[in-house]
Amino acid sequence: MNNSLQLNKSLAFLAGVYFAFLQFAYYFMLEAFLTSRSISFFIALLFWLIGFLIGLNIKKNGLLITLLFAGTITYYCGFFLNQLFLYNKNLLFIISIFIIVSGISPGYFFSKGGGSFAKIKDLFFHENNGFILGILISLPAILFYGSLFLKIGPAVGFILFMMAYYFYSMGTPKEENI
Amino acid sequence: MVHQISSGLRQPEIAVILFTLSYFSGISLGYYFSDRISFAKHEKFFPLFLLFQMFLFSFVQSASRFVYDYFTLLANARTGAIVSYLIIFIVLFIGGTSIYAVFLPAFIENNQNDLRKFYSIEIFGSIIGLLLIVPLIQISFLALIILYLICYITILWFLQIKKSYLFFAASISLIYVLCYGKIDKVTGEYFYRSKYGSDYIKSIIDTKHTPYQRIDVADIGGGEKMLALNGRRQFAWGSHFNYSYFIAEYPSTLFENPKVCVLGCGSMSTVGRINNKAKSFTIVDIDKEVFTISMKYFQKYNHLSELGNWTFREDDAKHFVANTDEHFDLILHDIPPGKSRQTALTYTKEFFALAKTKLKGQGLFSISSLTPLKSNSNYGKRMIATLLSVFGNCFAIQYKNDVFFYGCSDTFKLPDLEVLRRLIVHPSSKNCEILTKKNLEDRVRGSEIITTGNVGDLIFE
Repeated sequence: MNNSLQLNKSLAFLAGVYFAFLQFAYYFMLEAFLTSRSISFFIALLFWLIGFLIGLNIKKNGLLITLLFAGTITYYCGFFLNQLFLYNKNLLFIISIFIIVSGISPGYFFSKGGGSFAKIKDLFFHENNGFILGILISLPAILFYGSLFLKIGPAVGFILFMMAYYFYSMGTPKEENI
Repeated sequence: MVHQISSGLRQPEIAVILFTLSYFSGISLGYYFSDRISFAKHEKFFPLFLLFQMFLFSFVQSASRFVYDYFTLLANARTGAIVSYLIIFIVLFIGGTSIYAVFLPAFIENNQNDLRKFYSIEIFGSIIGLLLIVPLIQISFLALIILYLICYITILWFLQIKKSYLFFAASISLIYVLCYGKIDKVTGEYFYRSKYGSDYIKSIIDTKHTPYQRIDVADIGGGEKMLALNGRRQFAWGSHFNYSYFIAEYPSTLFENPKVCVLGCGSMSTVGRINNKAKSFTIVDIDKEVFTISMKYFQKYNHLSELGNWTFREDDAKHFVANTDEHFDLILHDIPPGKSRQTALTYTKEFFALAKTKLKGQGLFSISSLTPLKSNSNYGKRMIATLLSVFGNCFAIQYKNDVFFYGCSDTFKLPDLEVLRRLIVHPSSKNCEILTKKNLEDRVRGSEIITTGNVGDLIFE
C-alpha cells in the first residue's frame, strides 16, 4: 500500500478526532458555564457551520496549520473568558465569533484535502470515522472528566493532528502537502 | 427523536450518545457505499430504501418504547437494556442518515470533483435547516415533522423516482401527519401503563414537545393528574404530599414572610404549599412549557391564579442564580433528578456554592436527597457529601427513605435541635429524624463530591 496514502487516511482520521473534540468542547463549555438553554447549542452549531462554509470557500493554499492553530487558540480564549465571566450572556456574541474562527479549519481541510485522495469519498469516510472516535471519547469524557476535557481536549486533538501532519510532511514532496 | 428515544430507553444521556453515534456511523456507511451504488443501475434501490427510511422515522420513535420494554422483560434488566440499545443503534445506523450520505461524494465525483460547490450547498442547506428548526419548534413538534416530510418528499422528487412511489410516499406522509396525534397518544399510553400499571394510568390528556423534553399529563382517575417529563413521573398526588411538606412548608416555618426562589417549577405544588406564608415567589424554569402546563392542569396544587405575588423567569437555573441581583430567604431546589447533563449540572458543588451566595444573611437552601442514604445507590450520599462541602451550617430531616437537606447561610443562627423537631407538623412527625452536620458526615463519609467535572458519576449512579 502506498505509504503517503496511508498517512493521508491517518491524517483525515485524526483531523476528524480533533474536530469532534473541539466541537463538543464548545458545546459543553457553553452548557456548563454560560447557559444550558437550547439556544446555546443552536448557536454553537450555527456558527460552526458558518465558519465551515467560509473555510470551504477560501481559495488560498497553505493555510491549514494557521487555521487549525487559530481555531484552537480561539477556543481557549473563549474558555478563559468564560471562566473569568461565568454565566455572562454578553459572552455569547464573542464566543460565537470564536466558534466561526474554529469552524473555518474543518471547511478548509475538506476544501484542500480532496486532491490527496484517489476518491473523494475516502476523505469523507476517514474524517467521519475519526469524528466518530472523537465522539466516543469526548461524550464520556465530558460526563466523567468534564473540567479536564475542557482544559486539554482540544489541545490534545490539535497536538495529535500536528504530529501526524509532521510525519506526513516528512515523507511527502512539498507541493503535495495540503 | 432524541427525546422520544430517551423516554423510551429511560436514560437520556445514553440516548444522546446512542443517537449521536448512530447518526455519524450512518454517515460513514453512506460514504462507504457512495461509489458502490450507481444512480443509473439502482433505480429501485433509492425509492425502496427511502420508503424504508420513512417507515423508520415514523415508527422508531414510538417503537423504542416497545423494544426496551420487550427486551427488559425478556431478559434481565441490564441485558435487556443493552440489547435494546443495540437494536436501536443498528436501526438508526442503517436507516437514519446513511442514505443521505451517499449523495454528497457521488455528486462531487460525478461533477469534476467540485467539492467546494457541492459541500457548500449542503452546508448552506444545514444552516437554513437550523434556522428553521428554532422557530418551528416554538410552534409545535408536528410543524417540525411536517417540514421533515416536505424535505423528504422533495428529495424523492429530485431523484426522479417513479410517480407511483412518490405518490405512495406522499400519501403515507400525509396519513402520518393526520394521525400523528393519535399514534403518539396510543404509544404514550402503552408506555406509561407498562411503567406504572394499567389501573393507574387512565389516559394521556396532553403532550408537549420542547427543545428540552417531552411533557406528558396523564389522567390517573379520581380527578387527579400525573405530570411526567421525558417519561419520568415528576408529580402525582400522594408521595408529593410529603415531598412538598419537607422541601417547602417545613423550612418556611423558620421565617416570618420569606422571599422565596423556586428553582425548577414542575407542578409548582411547593409554591401552593406555602402560598399563604411567603412574601413573594420567583419561579425559575428553563422550559416555559412546563410552567404553562402546570398553570393549566395543576392549579389545584399551586394556586397560582389566586396569587399575585409571583414572577416566572424562563431561564437556566445556573444562569439565573449567577446573574440575579436579588437575595432570597428561602431557595427551593425543585429540579428533576440529575439523570441528564442539563439537570445534573445543578447538583454540583459549583452550583450549590453559587446558590449560597444568593441567600440573605438569614437564608436557607432546601433540597431533597431523592434517594435513601442507606441503599446500594450512592446517588443520595454523593449529593449530601457535595452539599456538606458547601454548607458548613446545616441540618437535615430523614423521613422514611428520603433525606431533606437544609443548608443555611453562614450567619444564620439555627434554633436548637429540640425546636427544630417541634417545628415538624406532619402526620408522621414521630418517624422523622433530625440529622446534624456530624450525623450527615458520618453517613456519607468517603462519598465522592460532584463537580462540573464528574456529573457522569451522578447521572449513571
